[in-house]
Amino acid sequence: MNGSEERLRDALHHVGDIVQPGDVPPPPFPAKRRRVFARPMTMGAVVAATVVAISGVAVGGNALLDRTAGESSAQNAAASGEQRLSVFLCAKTSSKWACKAKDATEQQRQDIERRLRALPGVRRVDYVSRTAAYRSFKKEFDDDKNFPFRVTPANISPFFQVRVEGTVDVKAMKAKVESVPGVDTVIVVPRKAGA
Amino acid sequence: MTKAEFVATERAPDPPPDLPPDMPDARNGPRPPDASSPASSGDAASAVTDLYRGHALGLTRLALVMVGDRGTAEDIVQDAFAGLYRRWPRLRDRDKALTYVRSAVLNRSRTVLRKRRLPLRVVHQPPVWSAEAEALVAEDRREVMEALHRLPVRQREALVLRYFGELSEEEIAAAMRVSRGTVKSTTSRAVAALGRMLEEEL
Repeated sequence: MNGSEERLRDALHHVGDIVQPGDVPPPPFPAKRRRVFARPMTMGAVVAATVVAISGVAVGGNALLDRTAGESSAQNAAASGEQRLSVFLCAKTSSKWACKAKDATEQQRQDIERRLRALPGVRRVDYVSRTAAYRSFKKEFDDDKNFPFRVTPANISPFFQVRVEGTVDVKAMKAKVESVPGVDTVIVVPRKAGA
Repeated sequence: MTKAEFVATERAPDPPPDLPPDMPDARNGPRPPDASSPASSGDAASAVTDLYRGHALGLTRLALVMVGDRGTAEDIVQDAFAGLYRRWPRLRDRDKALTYVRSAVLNRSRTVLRKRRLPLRVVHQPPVWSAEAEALVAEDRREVMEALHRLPVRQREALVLRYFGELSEEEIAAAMRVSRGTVKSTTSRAVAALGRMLEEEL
């Protein structure tokens, strides 16, 4: 095994990971009924991606920040030219190749936090543990009978909520952070209308 | 499908057909189907849906590294599965359905790339690894992807199936519809050529 083969493998998987489980459209033919609940583990990665997307926007955007950061005016902060990123850590259910289907280690978590804080334009970094993320998620979606997955603490990823200045190029930041070991995916939380 | 049919499908006593071993896609997707497709009953919707659930993600990623843009990659995989679904009743060797659909994805990717080289080519997105594409891929990986895409198409396919799909020589041979010997020689030539290109860039 030489260097170029390893580089090739790494590059291919990195590009491949751009497609996430939630991106796959429904089958192009009349599908039989979904058996999500019969095989929850099979859907684990999809759950993670969906939960990631939803909690990144809905939960992370409001309830979680309000609680973890102890700020009641999270929305006002968003309006004042601040941008947010949710940096999700690797979990057993991650489909990203580099995660190797393992939870991010404590060492990786610390390393990610250190690197996030060192990035230019970062105002604040908050860690949201798996339990906290799960609690908020439950609170937000518990009554929603339409939510297609059974969500357990195991298929929710812990994440960092990062607030950066409005002038920062968040897409470039996303690409940079996603290549850090232990990071599954980074979601740029959309700005609220009128922000 | 009614509830009763749904339950019946769940408990189908048919022995699972031996799908080709496909560990790599397992790493690329939620997990391959637990081979519960009742192939003998000829229920195309059921069998092809299971295959789709298990492998659509891995195959979309495969198409993406071949053609470079997500929309086209998704279309290729959808077409390939639609083709499998249509042909299912006449498919002789259903155990090889995954190989079939994988070949279809490769063939369609090749066709797309060929069409893009024609004079009146369709306008297409720059590849996701290009510099124009919103910095999705870091510089060093971009170099590798660009070098890969300068190789002849068969060499590129052999490399992608091996280093991305992690397929065995035999599986690569089946997907590319060539002999194992050809896979061996194509892969070694491709690795050598890629290594040279990457060294030149240093």
